[in-house]
Amino acid sequence: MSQNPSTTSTLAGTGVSIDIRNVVKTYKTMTAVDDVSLTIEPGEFLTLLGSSGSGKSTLLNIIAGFIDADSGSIEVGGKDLTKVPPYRRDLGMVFQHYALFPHMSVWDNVAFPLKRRGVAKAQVAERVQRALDVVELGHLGKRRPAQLSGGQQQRVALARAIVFQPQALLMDEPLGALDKRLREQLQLEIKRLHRELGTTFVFVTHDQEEALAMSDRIAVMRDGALVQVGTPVELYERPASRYTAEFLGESNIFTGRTHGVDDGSALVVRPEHVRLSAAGAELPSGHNALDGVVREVVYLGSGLRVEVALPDGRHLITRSEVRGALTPSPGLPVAAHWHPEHALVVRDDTAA
Amino acid sequence: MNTKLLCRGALVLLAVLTALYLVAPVFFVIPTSFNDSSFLEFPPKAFSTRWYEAYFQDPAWINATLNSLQIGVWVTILSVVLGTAAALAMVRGRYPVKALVSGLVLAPVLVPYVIIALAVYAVFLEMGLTQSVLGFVLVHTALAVPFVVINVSAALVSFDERLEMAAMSLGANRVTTFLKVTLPCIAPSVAAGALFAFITSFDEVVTSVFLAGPDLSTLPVQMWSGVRVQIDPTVAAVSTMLLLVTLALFASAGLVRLFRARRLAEAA
Amino acid sequence: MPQEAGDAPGAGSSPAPARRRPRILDGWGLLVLPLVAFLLVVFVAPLVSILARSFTDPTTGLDNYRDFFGSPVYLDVLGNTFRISGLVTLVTLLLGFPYAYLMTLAPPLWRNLMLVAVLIPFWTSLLVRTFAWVLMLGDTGVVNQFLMSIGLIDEPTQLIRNQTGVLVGMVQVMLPYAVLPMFATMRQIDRRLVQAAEGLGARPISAFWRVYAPLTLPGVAASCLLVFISSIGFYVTPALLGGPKDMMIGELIVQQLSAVLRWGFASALAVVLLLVTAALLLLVSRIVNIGKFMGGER
Repeated sequence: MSQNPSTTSTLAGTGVSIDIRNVVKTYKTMTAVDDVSLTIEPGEFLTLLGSSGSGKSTLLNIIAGFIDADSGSIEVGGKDLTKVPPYRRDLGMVFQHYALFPHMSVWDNVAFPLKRRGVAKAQVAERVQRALDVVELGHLGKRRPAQLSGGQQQRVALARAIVFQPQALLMDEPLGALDKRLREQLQLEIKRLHRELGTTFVFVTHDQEEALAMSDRIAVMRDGALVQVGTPVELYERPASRYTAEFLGESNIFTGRTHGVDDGSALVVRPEHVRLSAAGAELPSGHNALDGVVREVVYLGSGLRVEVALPDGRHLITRSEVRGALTPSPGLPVAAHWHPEHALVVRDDTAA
Repeated sequence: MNTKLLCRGALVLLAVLTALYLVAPVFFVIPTSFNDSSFLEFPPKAFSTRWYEAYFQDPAWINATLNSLQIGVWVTILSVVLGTAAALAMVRGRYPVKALVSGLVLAPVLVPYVIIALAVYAVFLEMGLTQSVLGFVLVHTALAVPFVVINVSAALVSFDERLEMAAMSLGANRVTTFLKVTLPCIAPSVAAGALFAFITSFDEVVTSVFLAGPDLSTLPVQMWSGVRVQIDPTVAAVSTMLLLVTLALFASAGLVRLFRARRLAEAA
Repeated sequence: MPQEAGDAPGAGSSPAPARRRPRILDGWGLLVLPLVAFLLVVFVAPLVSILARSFTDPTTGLDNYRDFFGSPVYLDVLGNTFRISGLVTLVTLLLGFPYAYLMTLAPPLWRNLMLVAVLIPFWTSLLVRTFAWVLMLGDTGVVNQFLMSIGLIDEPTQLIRNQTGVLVGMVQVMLPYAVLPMFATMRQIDRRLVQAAEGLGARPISAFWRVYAPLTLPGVAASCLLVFISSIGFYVTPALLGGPKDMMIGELIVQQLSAVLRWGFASALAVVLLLVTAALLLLVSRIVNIGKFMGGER
């Protein structure tokens, strides 16, 4: 990505806050958004993360104004937009399937929001060119969307959504239709855009790695409700519930039943905190340990992923260095152990 | 295997004859129209354009043609407006007795034209609408509008509504979104519906024969009387011209479609 | 949790919130009103008026219907109508089915040519085509000339103003309406089924009739019924190519009106024709979606 800073700075928006207050949306048989309240800070990159059906897209569409909430309010920059139609909300939107106008050239697509706002012709030309330059498609203005690759189309959609300097940018699984490499490349570009524009970004995805890589904060949604909101580090290292722990990253979970007490809590140990020692060897003092037998060893390049079968039939996952003290191989009896500070007690919210 | 080959051969022969049967009369008219004789012999003994001259010199033919064009244009406009609006409602809207309404909209194509002609003639006679452009336009629109509805609703069903969401998020209100995004996207189908509507009106015989009279006649009515009682050789010339115009219209529509498809295929 | 109402913006969270409100009529729905009003006035009201007229003109009661069903002359016309429509359907099927079948086998170029051959009459004016038949089938027309030149006949045989003429003309009009849907049906049939049957030992011809043909049945039956229904209402072709002995009900309606001004009787005939058409359409609608199959004498 090489463009002069002035290109983007002239497109820079002013970050505004978005206040979601007690939003409820029910369909005939189900609650899509269940009393969600959330404040998105000015200039923040916030990701709504959840599996399909968690209500994240519905919530985004409520912010955008495409869906009316049953109750609750949406405030953007301190102004109540609940009753404002989508075309007067001044929010940029990027869709999963690009939603470029097929009958217009790339240039006309990007000029569309400016023309709707009555921007003077000369200015339109200048700003469209700048927006296309930002996404490095300045030379493709004359093409039709159908003549571009998926990645290029999504960049055009980005240019179109930022060219009018919206108060905030909403993105609904924008990278979902792209292959892995392109997705990672565009993640970086979107991240860069966010940094340079300073606009508030609301990003919807079901991909936890994407969420961890891009966001300032992540709001995990499940069944229409917020499960936990926090920075990627907070969510990963201090998940408040078993659902978050399992949804973000890999986890070893021990429920109350493991200890014989079912108190509605669960114990989470991340694989990278579990260490392996030969069975019977002396363990670091204070460590919790479980005996087991190595079932599977996967070489990951940067390390090893080892699966240990426990006597009760369940298994435990660890990550370790390739050249550790122990070379695990299937069938080897081992002790898996960890420092108690790495064992988190969380609410067990995944009803069995 | 021999029986199979024999079957194939018979099948091909039958298909060739069928194709000939379908197409031959259409093209037979063309050489016949350049006949020198009023008996329209085939093959013509001498080449002549006298029946074309007869057409252009006869005010009855010319007036009928102009009437047909005028009526056709009004029918096209009216059916495109009514039909497109109805298609939008049928695909996107909520209204009572949907199935009944769909049936009503398609009915004019399913009811024999003789019945419609009789019924409309009875009513129009009392209202003084026979032999009037308005009368023709009203009936022909009823007959033509289903084709617009079918074409446009098919386009609307396959139209991606997210394009409208995108347009609105970019600041276009509902009307602008419709005019700048939805309409251009369904335009080819609206055009196809319009073409069908025009041709439906331009070719319509049965209802026109009822409504026409000395004061107002259309081209099909004029042709009808040129075939019904005694053959007027001018009909051959008119037929040839009609044929070439329709074929040119559809061929160009087909070419446009082919061209678009190719351009998109190249791009992909 | 159903996907529909959750995350798919195309499905559950579509942009028209009005659609979900429990109203009977929304903004889009209003747009159907102009056309409905138009058709009620221009199309339905006249039909209702002739229905009424058939019971009131010239006298109130069932006289017109009694006249029709009590007179062998008129019943003959009804018989003609059904006979000719039946024959048209049969010939159309005999020509159309193999044609459509061959289209599924032909390589793309030939298939397109065959399609064009079907579409050309579809596109050209009915009058032009009928006029061409009048010229071709006349006593001095090409067909008679050809038959005499190959010595099949010695003097011109009558091909027009009789049942032959009507059949020739009507079948040509109806063929495209039969071939296109039959082709659409056949194209969806997996040809490997026939190969499988042959692989299991069936002779090719019996594999065709026992496996392939039954699969085409719904499409073929629907096309045939629609050809029959459209044929019943024909007026132009029989009027120009038929003789007085082959009068169909459409012509009778026109004749009763224009020649003897029996409005009530003509209306009663129209009602009978309408009821027969409607009953048959009801039958078809149980087999296929009618909207896709529309045809007729245009």
